[in-house]
Amino acid sequence: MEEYSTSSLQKMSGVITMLILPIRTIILYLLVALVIRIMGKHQIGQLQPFELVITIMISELAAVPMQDTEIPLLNGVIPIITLLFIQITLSLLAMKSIRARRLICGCPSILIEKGQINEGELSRLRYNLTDLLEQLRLKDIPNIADVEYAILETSGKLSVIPKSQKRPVNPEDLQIETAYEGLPLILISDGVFHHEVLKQTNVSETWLRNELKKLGIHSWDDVLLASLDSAGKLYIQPKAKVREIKIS
Amino acid sequence: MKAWVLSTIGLFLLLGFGIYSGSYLQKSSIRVIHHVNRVESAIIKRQWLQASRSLAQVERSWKKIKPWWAILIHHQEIDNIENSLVKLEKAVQSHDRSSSQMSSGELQHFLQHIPQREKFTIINIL
Repeated sequence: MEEYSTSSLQKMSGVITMLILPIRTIILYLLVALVIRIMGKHQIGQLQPFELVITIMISELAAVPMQDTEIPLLNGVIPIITLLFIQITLSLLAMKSIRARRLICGCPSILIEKGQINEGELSRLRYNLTDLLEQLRLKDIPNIADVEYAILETSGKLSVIPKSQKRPVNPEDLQIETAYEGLPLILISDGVFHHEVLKQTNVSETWLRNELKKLGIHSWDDVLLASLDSAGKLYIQPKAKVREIKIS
Repeated sequence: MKAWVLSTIGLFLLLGFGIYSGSYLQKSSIRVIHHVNRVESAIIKRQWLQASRSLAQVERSWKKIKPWWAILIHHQEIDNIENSLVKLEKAVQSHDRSSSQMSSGELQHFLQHIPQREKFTIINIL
């Protein structure tokens, strides 16, 4: 076996651990980021119970080998990939079969039905009246009498349908004609001109350049944001440096 | 569906790797134990020169497998093996028969116990 002096060994182990830890952290971070990306947008939005379990487990599995250099990296990697497989399989099953969806995700529960509190459902879910009133207040409904339906979704969020007399008035109620409102298209962002987006509109590049010239902008680089709404209205915001030059 | 296929392939690759790594641990530990047995029989016969030579062989084969074992097993296990290897080396150098036998027994135990721990058995699962 090789011979080492105590001081040189101590110095070496310190330096090596300092190098190993960031590398292990980078590897595990990239793996977890990739796994969450593959799991889909569900995983970063509203979690179903089985997705929440998997997210908690993945974070723990990544954190332990990240800190403890004694544990082989594979001990973290293998369970994370196994969990990825389980999550995708369960999501697919839930998507393909209603029965599987009920089993995996559960069913939404109606807590208020036709204005009446469903006592049996509340006690079954161990959901007390204080929680229910709190959730309603968070939805800007202070009076429970204004609620027609309240449904506890499988993600744990409460959906509230107010009584028709209490819901906000909309243009249809007032029989007002409204113009079509589409998604505004971003033509220039942070100095980058999006040619593909412009093709989706009925305006030309020359028209856009002329509009910019009217504001004293001669280059795409000077534009922070330029968007065009469905009514054909152009919104332009020049970059701060351009505005500062104009002011001075 | 693409993600499911990818994760399934990944899982099967890992399972294959798991089976291969289990058999690798078994085979490589048997190889090192074989050399340790030689050291032990030389110690019993008080052939210290032969014991030193066999010990050098143990160290050579251990150095070959150590980086691969470090990927597969807890690093504490590797430290245990290294510690008993150092103890055995010192005991052989000082021609101490009882300490040498004790250290070689300990080393054999550590080498045997790792593949046992990694085996696909109900005890290890539970």
